[in-house]
Amino acid sequence: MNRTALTGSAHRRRTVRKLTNAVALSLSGLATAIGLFFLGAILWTLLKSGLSGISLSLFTEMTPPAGSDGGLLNAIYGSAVMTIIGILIGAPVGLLAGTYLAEYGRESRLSVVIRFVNDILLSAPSIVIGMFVSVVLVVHMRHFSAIAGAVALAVIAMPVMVRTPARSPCSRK
Amino acid sequence: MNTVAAIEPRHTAGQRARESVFRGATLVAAILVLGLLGGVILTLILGAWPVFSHFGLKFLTREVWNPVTDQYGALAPIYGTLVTSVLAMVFAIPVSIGIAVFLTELAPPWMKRPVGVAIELLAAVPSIIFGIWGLFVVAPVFQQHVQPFLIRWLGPLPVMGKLFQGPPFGIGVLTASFVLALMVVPFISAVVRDVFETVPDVLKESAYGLGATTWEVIWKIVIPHTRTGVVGGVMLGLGRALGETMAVTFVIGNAHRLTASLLAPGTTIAASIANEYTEAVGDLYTSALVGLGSILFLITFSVIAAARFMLLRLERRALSSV
Repeated sequence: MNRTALTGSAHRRRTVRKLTNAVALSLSGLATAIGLFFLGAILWTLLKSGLSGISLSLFTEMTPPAGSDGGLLNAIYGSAVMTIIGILIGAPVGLLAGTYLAEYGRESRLSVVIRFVNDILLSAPSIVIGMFVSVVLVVHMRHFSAIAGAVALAVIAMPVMVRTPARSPCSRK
Repeated sequence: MNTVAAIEPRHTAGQRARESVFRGATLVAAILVLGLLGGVILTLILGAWPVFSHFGLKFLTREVWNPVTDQYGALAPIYGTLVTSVLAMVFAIPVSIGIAVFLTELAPPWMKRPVGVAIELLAAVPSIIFGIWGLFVVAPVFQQHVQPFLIRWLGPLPVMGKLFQGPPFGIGVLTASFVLALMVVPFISAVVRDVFETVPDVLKESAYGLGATTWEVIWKIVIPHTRTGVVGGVMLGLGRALGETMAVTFVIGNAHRLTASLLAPGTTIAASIANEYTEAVGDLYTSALVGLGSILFLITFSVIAAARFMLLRLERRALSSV
């Protein structure tokens, strides 16, 4: 009697455990499905509303006044120029500093501090970086410029490049 | 003797000179990184000085924001920043941990890579696209379906109902939190997945050997073992959510107002700066915005520093246990 009662409760516990397992694992599958669904939703919206707008004139004509035809040549050109200048400024400094951390400084106190500071820069809000460059450059030059934009991009991109050489397997002890 | 001398590197004077020049250049670049952060901090302090000397610490606790009469208070943006980020974390943490569990423990090998890459792709979507998508797709759905439902069923509840009252605007704090949550999910799940993979197989196998279910292995072995790492990943996500600008600016409504309702338009620090900085006339107005920026920097700095510290502790423990 006692024995059947025990196996009864053990049986029930096993069912509960199996059920919990099934529910928890389904929820984790659901979480992944949610992530994939929203990625799909964003891409679908982009393609549905964006594809019809893509034509040759988009890349060859300037932004028109409202209501007439034209393209986005100036915006595309601006993005390209700013990115290139930004990388030209940021890459040498970023790669040299990264090389210092990986090859010369290694675990010295200075490197530890620089790595920490770099992590702070890496995750600093871009709006704060923009504000910094604006105060330093735009205010002194008295107008907005592609150079100021490029410097801001350089400051945002540099910490990523500082970090990358330190990650290579050869420099690991 | 001779052989020993032969394998010792013999540098020419030219080589040594080039080496020291290169070494010097790398050192200068490294110190420039330090100087850059110093410059950012100095600029923020100098820029925020007028507003803090004008209003004192009351700048932090005043709600009013009126450029016409030159009255500024940071309370509404600070509140909005904290509420949207915390709410985004409430949505994002369970989903990210679910994804990490799926990728490390559940998915068959052929599925791991494509699904993992797809989730990482979500991190590669520029924030402005999240903003546009949030404004044109999420906001209408929220206005027509989600918010009326919340107002009808949760609005009348005591205490909690205050969060769900007012007309369904579509845009507002809740919509911003939702879009933010989607943006940080890939970051948190990537970190959590990586720390889950640091759990020694022996531990998991022992638990399976004792008859544990997959969920029990995750809940009682994997998560306790990686607790600090998971918290660190969540804090990194929080740091991103706090500073996110464009996507939030599109969907939050940009109203300098404190309201209990999550459905009402609000503002965040980053959104206020993005909206007003280039149009700010007058020194006090600009200084108020730079003041907001310094507060944001201080908040994210503390969150990121705490996250790095926790991840570092996990790394040290993983090294010592091997």
